[in-house]
Amino acid sequence: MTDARAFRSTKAWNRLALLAMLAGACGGPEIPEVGSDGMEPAVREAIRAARDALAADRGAAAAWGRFGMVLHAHRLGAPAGLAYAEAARLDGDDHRWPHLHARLLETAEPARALGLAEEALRRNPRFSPALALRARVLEALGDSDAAEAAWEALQDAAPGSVEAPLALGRRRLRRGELAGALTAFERVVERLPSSAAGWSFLAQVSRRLGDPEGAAHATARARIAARSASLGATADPDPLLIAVEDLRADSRGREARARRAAAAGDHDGAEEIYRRLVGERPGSADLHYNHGNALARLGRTDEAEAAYRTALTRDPDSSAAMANLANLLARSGRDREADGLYRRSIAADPSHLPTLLGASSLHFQRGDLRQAERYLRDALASAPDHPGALQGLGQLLATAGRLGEAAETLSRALAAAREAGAASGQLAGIHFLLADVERQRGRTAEARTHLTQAEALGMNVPPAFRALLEPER
Amino acid sequence: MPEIMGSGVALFDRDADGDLDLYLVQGEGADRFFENRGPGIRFVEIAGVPNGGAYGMGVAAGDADGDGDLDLFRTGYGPDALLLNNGDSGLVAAQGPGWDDSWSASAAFCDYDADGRLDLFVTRYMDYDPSFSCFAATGEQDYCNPTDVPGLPDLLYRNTGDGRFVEVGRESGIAALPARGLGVVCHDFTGDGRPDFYVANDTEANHLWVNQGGGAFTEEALLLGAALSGFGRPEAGMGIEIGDLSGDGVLDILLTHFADETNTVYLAEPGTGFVDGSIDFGLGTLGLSTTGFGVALGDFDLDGFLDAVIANGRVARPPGESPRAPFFAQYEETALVLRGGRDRFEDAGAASPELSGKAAVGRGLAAGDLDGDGDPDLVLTAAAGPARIFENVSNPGGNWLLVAAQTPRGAPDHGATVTLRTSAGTRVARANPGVSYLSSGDPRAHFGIPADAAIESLTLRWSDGSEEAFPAPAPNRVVVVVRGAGTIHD
Repeated sequence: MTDARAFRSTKAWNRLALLAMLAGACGGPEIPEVGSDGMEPAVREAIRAARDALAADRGAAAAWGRFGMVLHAHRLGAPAGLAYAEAARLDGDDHRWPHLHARLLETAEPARALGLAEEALRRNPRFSPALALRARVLEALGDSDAAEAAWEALQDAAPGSVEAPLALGRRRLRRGELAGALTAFERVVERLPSSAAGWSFLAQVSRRLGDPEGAAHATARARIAARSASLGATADPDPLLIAVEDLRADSRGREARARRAAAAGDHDGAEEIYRRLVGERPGSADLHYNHGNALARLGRTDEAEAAYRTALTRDPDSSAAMANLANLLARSGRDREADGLYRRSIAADPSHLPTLLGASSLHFQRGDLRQAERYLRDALASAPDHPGALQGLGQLLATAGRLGEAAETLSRALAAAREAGAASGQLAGIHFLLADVERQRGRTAEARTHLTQAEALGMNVPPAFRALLEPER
Repeated sequence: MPEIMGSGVALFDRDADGDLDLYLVQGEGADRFFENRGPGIRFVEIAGVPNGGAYGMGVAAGDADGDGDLDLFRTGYGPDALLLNNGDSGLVAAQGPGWDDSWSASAAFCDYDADGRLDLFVTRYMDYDPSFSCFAATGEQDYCNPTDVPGLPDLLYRNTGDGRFVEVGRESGIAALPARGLGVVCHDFTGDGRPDFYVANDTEANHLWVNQGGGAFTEEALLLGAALSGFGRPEAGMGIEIGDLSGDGVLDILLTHFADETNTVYLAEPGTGFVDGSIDFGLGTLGLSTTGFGVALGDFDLDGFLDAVIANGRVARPPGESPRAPFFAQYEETALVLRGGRDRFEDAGAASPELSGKAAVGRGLAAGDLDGDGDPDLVLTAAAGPARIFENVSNPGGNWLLVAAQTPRGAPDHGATVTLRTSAGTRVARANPGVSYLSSGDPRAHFGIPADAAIESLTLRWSDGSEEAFPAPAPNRVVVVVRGAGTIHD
C-alpha cells in the first residue's frame, strides 16, 4: 500500500495523449496542462516553474526531461511519460529519458517498458539501472532464459550490484543448485549486510543444505534487518530515480529529503528543511521532534530544547521527545529536570529503550549504580539482545567490581553487536571494555586478544594500555 | 483510514437448515444479517446487530461455545465482539471481559491446542491515531500510507471451554513481533499434525507462526520462504487463500497485494518450504496494476482446476484527477477473474463482464454455494458501496462434490483437508471458512470434477492430524462426513 507508482491512464490523460500526437504531427507536442486543484502550493509552484522553463525553450530535450521529472516526482505519470517521450525524441543520444520513461511503465506496461529499457541501453550499453530494469521486466514477463542472461549482464557491468546476485541466487535456489545459490546470497549480505532478503534466502539455503546453525543465524540476521527498515533494499540504487525523488516539492517529499540529509550527516541541510516544515505544519509533533534532533546535532542546544518542548505540547506522551530532551538536559548538567523527564517518559511507556538507556546513563554518571542497573535490566527485559544495553550493563558491572559478571555480559554484548551488524566503532568499544575487565581479572592473554581486536577495528588504544600489546609485537 | 480498508462478509448456516446465510459487517451503524430463503439466490433481512461502538472490519464464523451451531467473531476499529448464536433469539453479543478495542482486522477460528474447542487468532492492523494527517505526492490530503503508522502484535485467544477466551499472545510467542496484520489463515503448513497460522502483513514480511505444541509458536516465514516475494521484497499483504494450485496434493498460498506487486503464489514444497510461483502462474503481469484485497480460489467452472477471483480497489487517489471526481469513485477498480489451468492462470474477465466490468472499491470477498446448485457463488463487499452477490452461471461442463467435514458435535471441523481421488487425478481442498480478507466463506470443501471422471476415493485429514477414509460418494451432492464416524451421508 505504498503511495508510489500507480499510473493508470484516465480518460483525461488519453485525450491529452491524442492532442499531443496531433500536435506532434505539426512539429512537437503541446506542453501538457496539469490540473492543479487541491495541490499543495509548493507542488503547484514547482510544476509551474518547470513548465515555464520548458515554454521558454520548447526545443530543448533537457527542458522536456526536467518537466517530466518534476511531474514524475509528483506521481503525475501520464503527462510525465509524454514529456520523457518528447525529450527522447529531441535528443537521440541521452539514455536518461527512455530509462525514466521505462521506470514509469515498469509495472503498468512491462512490454513497453522493456522496449524503452532496450532503447536506453542502445544509448548507454553499460548503464546498470537500465540493465537491472530490463532483467526485472523480462523476469516478470516470464522470459526466464532472457532474464537470466540479463542478470548476468548486470553482474558483469556492475560488480558491486546487490540486485544481480540476489536474482541469480533466487534462480539457482529454484533450480535446486544450492551451492551456487549459497555463493550468490553470501555475496549479497557481504555487499549489503542489512539485506533482509539476502539473509532470508541464505537461511532457506542453509536449511536445505542441512546446516541448522547457519539457518538460525541467517534467520536472526534477517529478522534484525527486517526491523531496521532496510527490508525493501532489494534493488540497486537508481541515481536517476533518486534525482526524481529529490524534486518532490510536497511536504512529505521534503520531509523524506530531510531524513535522508540527517542520515547522511548533513544536519545543516536537515535543519533547514525541518525549520520550513514546522512553519507550514506547526501542529506536527514529529516535525518539531525531528527539528530538535537536527538542532541538537548542530550543538544548538537552546533551540533544540525549545523544539522538543514544542513537540511535547503537541504530543505530551511522546517518549521519544521526552527521552531526547532529557538527554539534552543531562548533558547540560540539569540532572533533576532530566530525571523528572525520564520518569515521565517511563510512566508513558515502561519499555521505551532510549529512555531507559538515558536514565541509566544519568544515574551511572551520578554514581547511583543500583538505579542505573535497574533501568538497564528493565531495558533488557524487553530487548534481551540489545547490544547497547548489554554493553552499558557490562560497563556498570565492571565499575562495580563485579568482574566475572561484567566479562560475561560484555561477551554477550559483543555477540549481539556482531549479530546486529554493528559498526566497527561499537565493536571496538566492547573489545576495549573486555580487555580492561580481563586485565583487572589478571587474564593478560585474553586482555591482549581483545585489545588487539579493538585496535584492528580502528581504535586508538590509550597509552596506558599500550604496554599490554607489546609482547605481541 | 478505517473507512478505506472496508468491511467483510460471512457466509454461514446460522439456522442449520443446510444453506448459507449472509452476514455483512458495516463500518458504521448496525451490521446486517440476511437469511437464505432459496430456492435460487433469495435473501431476507432478519435483524441488525449493533456494532458496539466499533467501526466494523472483519468477521469469522465458528462454533465458539461448543454447542454445535455457528457463532461469529466481529473485529473492528474499536471493541471486538463475540456474537453467540442463540437459535431463535438470533446473534447476541457474549457477556464477559472486554475484547481488544484497538484496530483488529481478520480473524480465524482454529483449534490450535487440539483440545476439541475452537480457539481464535485475530490480526491487528496498526496503532492508528485519527488526528494524524497524510497527504498524496501532490499535497492533497489522502489516506495514510501504512508505513506511517506502527503495527501491533496479533492476538491469540485460547478457548477455556467455560465460555471464556483467554488472550495468550505473550505466552505463545505471537506477541513478540508486532506488524501490520490484515489477513490470516489457519492450516497445518508444516505437515506435523498441528495447525499453524499464516498472516499477511501490510508492507512488512509476512508471518508464519509454526505450532510447536504446548501452546508455543515460532515465526518461520523468513526461514521457509513465505515472508517476502520471490524478489525478496516485503509486499503489502491483504487477503489470503489456500488451495492446491500445483496439483501435488499440498495446499499452496495465494496472497493479494498492492498495485505494482504481484498477487503472489507461494507454492508449498513439502519438507523444504515455499517458493514464489507467481510468474509461472502468469501473475508476473496479470493484476499487477490493481490493488487486491479479498480473494477466492475455487473451481468455478467445474473443470478440475482452481480458478481465482480477486476483489480490487485502490487505497490512494490516482494523481492528476483528484478533487473533481466523486470521492470514492476515484478508488474504484474492477475485480480480477482468473481461469486456472494445469499450472497457469489466464484472464477470464471477458467471460464475467458483470464481475470484471463494474468497478468498486472492492474489499471483502467470500465464496460459497448460495443457491445449492453445486458451484461456488460470490459475495463482494466494497468500501462506501453496496455489497454485491454474483451468481455463478458458468457453463457447468463438469460435476461437483461438496464435503461438509464435521466434528462429532455437528460443527464444521475448521482446518480439515479433504482429498478426493478421481480418474482424472487427485485433488485436495480445505474445509475451512477462514480465508480471504476480513471474511468467512463456505466451510465445506468444494470439488469440481471433469465430466468424464469418476470418483474413486475420499479421505479426510482432520484438524487434529488424524486421517480417515470414507467410501467414494457419487458426484453432484453435498455429503456430510463426521470425524470418527467412518460413515458418510447426505
